[in-house]
Amino acid sequence: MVKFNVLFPFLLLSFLGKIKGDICEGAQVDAVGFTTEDATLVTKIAYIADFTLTCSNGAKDVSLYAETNAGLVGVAKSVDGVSWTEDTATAPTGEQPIRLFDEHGYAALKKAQRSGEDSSAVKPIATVKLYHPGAYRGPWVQSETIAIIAIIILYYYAYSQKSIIMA
Amino acid sequence: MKGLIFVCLFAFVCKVFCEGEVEEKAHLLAAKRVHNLYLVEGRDILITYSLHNIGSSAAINVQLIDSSFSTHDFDIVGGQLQVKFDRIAPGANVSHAVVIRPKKFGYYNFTAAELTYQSSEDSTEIQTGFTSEPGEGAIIAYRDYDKKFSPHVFDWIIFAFLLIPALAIPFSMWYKIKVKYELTTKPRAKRE
Repeated sequence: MVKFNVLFPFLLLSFLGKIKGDICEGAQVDAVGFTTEDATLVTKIAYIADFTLTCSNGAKDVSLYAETNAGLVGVAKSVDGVSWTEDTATAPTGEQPIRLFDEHGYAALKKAQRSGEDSSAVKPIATVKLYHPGAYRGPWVQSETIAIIAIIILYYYAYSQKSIIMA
Repeated sequence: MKGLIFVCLFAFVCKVFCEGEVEEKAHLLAAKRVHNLYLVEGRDILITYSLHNIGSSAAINVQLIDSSFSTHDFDIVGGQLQVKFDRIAPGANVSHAVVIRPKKFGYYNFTAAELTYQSSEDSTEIQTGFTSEPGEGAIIAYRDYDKKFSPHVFDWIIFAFLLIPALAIPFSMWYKIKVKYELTTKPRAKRE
């Protein structure tokens, strides 16, 4: 009986694995990322990561889910890809972690979220980091402003020198 | 301004394939949007596809193909134009983003992307649908865009160079006189 109790979760896992697609072991991810960097043109920042997942046990067609800063995102397949968008004003910069989960990880993650637990405790099969350097929002100071300031400084210098001579 | 109206037009969701009220079936609503203020030749255009399942069953093997951006006219710089989602649960949202760069300028008609899916786990029938159409948009030439929006740093530098003779010649004349004048006044100041 004890033996069965120990074995049961494994049996269940392997059974689930059979019906829900293979379990990926020793996952390795090769990723290419892209983010939009010109906020003067687009109204949203897109974070796009395309990756290929290779499993050391040769598992294919693994259903994947990704947890990003924007929440849970579905993984599109062709080359596996994760993409989401954020408003240009609130888009976070720097390294964006993308945590990849298979069916079991996804179920555990959902359960953790439902019960209000910390979802970071659920271990992903792989993590991809997407770097967003920040978007260009136009120049800090308009060049016209710099030109006007330069003219004011020049005029002030000339005028003060003139008033010294005239005095 | 034109760009804003343009974006508003895109926020138009079309309903895809609607039949069978009683059966448990997946119904997908699909929208294709362009999130740009301006469409500029050679610069990023962000396109998102959002799929929403309003049916009572999960949509299986959802395939989204956008064949409206040929590699002849556009560079695909981020994301894929042909994607597959294994499953979209009832009530769930899925989104996908693609970034393209137009190679030419002029008017371009942004048309719908095609969507195929099975409406339930055991259905073998493949449903076909289309996303909303963002419509026609004007892709402006980079030259024109740059003329209007660039900080014109180079132009200002040229302007500053042109100003140099007009400022530097009177300044140097005045400076020479100033140095002479100070030479005659300074010793007197010392004596006092």
